[in-house]
Amino acid sequence: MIYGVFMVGSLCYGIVLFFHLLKKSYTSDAILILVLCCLIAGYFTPHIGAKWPTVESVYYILYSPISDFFNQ
Amino acid sequence: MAGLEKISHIQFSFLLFGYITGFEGLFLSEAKVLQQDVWIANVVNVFMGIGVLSLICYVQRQFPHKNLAEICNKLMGKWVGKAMLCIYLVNNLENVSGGFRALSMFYTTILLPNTSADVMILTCVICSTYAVYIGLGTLVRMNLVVLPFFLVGFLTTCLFVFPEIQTNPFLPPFQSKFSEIIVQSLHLFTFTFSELITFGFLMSRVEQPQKIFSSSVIAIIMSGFYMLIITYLTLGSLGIDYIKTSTFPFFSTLQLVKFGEYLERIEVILIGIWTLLTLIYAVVLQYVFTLVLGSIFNIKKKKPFVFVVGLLFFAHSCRSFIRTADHFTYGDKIFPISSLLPCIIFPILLAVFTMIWKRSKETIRGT
Repeated sequence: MIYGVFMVGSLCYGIVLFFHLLKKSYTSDAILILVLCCLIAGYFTPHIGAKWPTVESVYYILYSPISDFFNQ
Repeated sequence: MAGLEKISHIQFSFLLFGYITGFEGLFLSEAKVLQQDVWIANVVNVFMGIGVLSLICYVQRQFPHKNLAEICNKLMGKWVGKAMLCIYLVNNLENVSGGFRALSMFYTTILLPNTSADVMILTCVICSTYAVYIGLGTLVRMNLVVLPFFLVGFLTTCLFVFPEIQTNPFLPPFQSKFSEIIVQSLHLFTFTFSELITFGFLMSRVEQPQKIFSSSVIAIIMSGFYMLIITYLTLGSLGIDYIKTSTFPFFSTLQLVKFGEYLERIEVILIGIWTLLTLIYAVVLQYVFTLVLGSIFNIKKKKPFVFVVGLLFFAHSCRSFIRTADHFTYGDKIFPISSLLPCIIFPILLAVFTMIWKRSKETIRGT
């Protein structure tokens, strides 16, 4: 329920700010805000959120072979 | 963010001290492995910290009017510079999520077992986002107010722990293997002075840049002493076997302290101070994240991004390190390796590129 609120909230905030910044011709800022807000909304989505990439999961895949090699 | 105000070198070094001591003192995982030889890891750690600090200070001194992000772009080129800064940002996010999760885990274990971790993380994020919004000047001044009380309280409490010491914590010496000492020194460095790169991004905001190195070295040495005092008081009063099994050994040591019959549970005050210092840790990380993000993407309107970065930190922390066992395994195995690139290799690369740049400038001037 709380996650739903955050998901909708962050998407709305992203879209509103996107158009607000576009009007003031800060195009790159607008695109960046929209991308970040979509990324944030992804974390709060019901089933996809648990599988959405986090630094922990990505680094686990990247570095666990190296870590196993050192700890062997 | 309220302006880009300058801070003094004393405020900078106090922030460094609070940042480092606030977080590491609670788990003492190196002491669990090395026990009485942990002083060797601490000394190696202090030297490594001073080494990394000298590299970053050297780079900053060559470019007195640029911040470290601009220096990185200038030395490494636009795209490689941005890539390195992005790697730093990912490390920053990893750190802050670990910090928020550790804080909520501590509260869930010790005080509030029925409160959801997400609620605690949300409270911390609201606090840190507001602090970032107010600006660096206010943060360092608040830190300057809190730290002397922390130090006085901590030293007084240590004096009262002293009578509880039952064994000599330094004996028997040199029982650990050399490889264990190296691994644990690296582990300790990862959780303490590897964050100096974060402070590197704040160095351009200090009014007297030539004094940064000397005051920061004092802060690093004092942090080293602080870690030694905590570890050996715990080893001497709790004993080696207990320290291996306890999750928060220093907290358990403090529970032994009683000022006569009328003042007990002194560890509660230290919970409050530890919470505050961990929040300062998170605020500094979030502030630098916002600065570096602005530098990578040339953001012109910074205010909306302060809120969005806070939201990102909350979202990411809610989905990271959910199981405590995973968190500890990650901290032991993956985190020391993942922070090698942004925290050790990045400063070394910057220093090497600075030396090459300086030499080419002198060659051009000479011809």
